[in-house]
Amino acid sequence: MRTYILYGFGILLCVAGIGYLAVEYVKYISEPGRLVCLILIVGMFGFLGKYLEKMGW
Amino acid sequence: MRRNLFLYLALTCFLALIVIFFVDGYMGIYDTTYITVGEQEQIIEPDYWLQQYPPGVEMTYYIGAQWGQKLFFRYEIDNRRFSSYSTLVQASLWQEDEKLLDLFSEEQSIEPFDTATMEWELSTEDLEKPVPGTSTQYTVKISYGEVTRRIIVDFYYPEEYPVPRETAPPEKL
Repeated sequence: MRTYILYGFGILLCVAGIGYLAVEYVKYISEPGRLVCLILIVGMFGFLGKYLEKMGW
Repeated sequence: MRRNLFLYLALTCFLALIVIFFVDGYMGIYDTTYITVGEQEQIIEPDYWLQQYPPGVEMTYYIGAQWGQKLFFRYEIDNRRFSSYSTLVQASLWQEDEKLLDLFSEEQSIEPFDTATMEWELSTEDLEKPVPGTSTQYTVKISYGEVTRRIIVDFYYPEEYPVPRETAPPEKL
């Protein structure tokens, strides 16, 4: 249970970090950069979901 | 290793995102313009020039002033790269594709992660006076490297009202 809380906390920090960086710098990112970011975000949460699924969540 | 494969892939995506934010979003050459008219200062941030509205139309900035007012420009070029950046910075005044004045011209060499600041002013003294009650527009073009910024300045020349003539006081009877 404690491990899951730590995982949850880690995920929350990742999302908060991405949010902060996006707000700070996203206005200067080029169009191709935005597209790659979108794909990476989808990939990141997809892989994270798959990992948690394998963990039995 | 295999058990945590998806976690490693997710972390790789996260790290790639951070790298893109830094390399594409932060690194580069950015310019900020500060224009002071009277007591008001207007700031044109670098992201203003990235806007595409309406699509396909080159972005211009619009500023108004009264005839006789001076416009003070402060121009900053931010070099957010690991190498130094050298360029010729030029500012000139245009009207209908005709160059009227050179406002500023200087070769700049900016160290990595440093900022260069330039200043100049635009005065109406060298310009042709418009008809009272009308306004006239000029374009300030600022260029460095392959970048050109266009700022439209609208000078309004107010109507001149006649000064009331002094009349002699009525004579005492």
